[in-house]
Amino acid sequence: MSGSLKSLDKKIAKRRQVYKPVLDNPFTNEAHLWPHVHDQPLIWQLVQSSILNKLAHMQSKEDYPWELYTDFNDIVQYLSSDRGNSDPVYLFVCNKDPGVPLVLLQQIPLLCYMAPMAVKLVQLPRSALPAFKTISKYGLLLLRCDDRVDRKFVSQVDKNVDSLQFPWLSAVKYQPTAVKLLKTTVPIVSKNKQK
Amino acid sequence: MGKKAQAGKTKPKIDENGVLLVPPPRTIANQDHFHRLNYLYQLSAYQTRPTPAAGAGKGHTPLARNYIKLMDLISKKTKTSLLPTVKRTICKKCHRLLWAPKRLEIARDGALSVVCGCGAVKRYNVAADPDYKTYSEREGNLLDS
Repeated sequence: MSGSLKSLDKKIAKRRQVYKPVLDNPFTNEAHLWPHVHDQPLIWQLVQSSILNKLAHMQSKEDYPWELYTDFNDIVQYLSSDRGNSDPVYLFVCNKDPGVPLVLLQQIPLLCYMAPMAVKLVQLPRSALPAFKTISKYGLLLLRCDDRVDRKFVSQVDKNVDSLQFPWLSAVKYQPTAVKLLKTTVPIVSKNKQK
Repeated sequence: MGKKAQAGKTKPKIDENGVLLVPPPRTIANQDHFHRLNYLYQLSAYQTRPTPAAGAGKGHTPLARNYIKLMDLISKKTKTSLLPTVKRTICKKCHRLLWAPKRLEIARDGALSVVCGCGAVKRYNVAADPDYKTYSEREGNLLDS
């Protein structure tokens, strides 16, 4: 006798692998949604030294030396209202870390694009979220670039981070159909059992 | 004859969960349905293109909504599926594209709510499991055709 009953049972297929065609969104290209950061380590170091380290010593939000928002609802409110000032804003997002909901992240690029002010969307490197945990639950930080922000920091971010681009919003061009295959399984039902 | 036929046959591959492994198909049946759905979605997107100057797709967009309604009907009639990345951008009630929702907030219970111009709310309970991924978003489940 070779093999137990369990191993014999595994040799009989109960389910069959199937590939189900599904339509993907022609406009959600992750590579284009988030602007490219040229020198990621430099930007992350600058964010840590210029902003996060200083915030770590503050007791409450009123002590913050700059106008910044870390709550998602406050950020959305800021970006969707015209405040009458022309100062650009930086939005730092930990989009590569686990613990930040994907649905939430999917809303951010378009929200920035639609904002009445100039928004620089800066994606932070993997494992940046723990540094944000004390100030923001989902690793979001919106900073208004007024006179109080260090000019060197502003120039470095401007130089290293691309601007937001939505080619499918600015130019009308038909995108080819993106049909994907979803790998799943279905039970194998024998004809005798059906009767 | 029997020997030759048997030599050509390969043993079916079964994994440890008792699943009969099958290679992905080379062609996709009824591709024209997908082309039609894709075209309707892009027509609607063109009609509701939000621009920073215009504010958002807040205007009255009956034609765009009708295209999405048609797309929804066709996908149901032809039993063709759409990925959650498509469905999340569509309001189930008024068939508006939710590129620029009326309101976007994290509610008191921690759920992300996306409020459409018609008042319908899409709620995602992100607080329950921030790392949640739909089946198609999980690695290895979605293949390029």
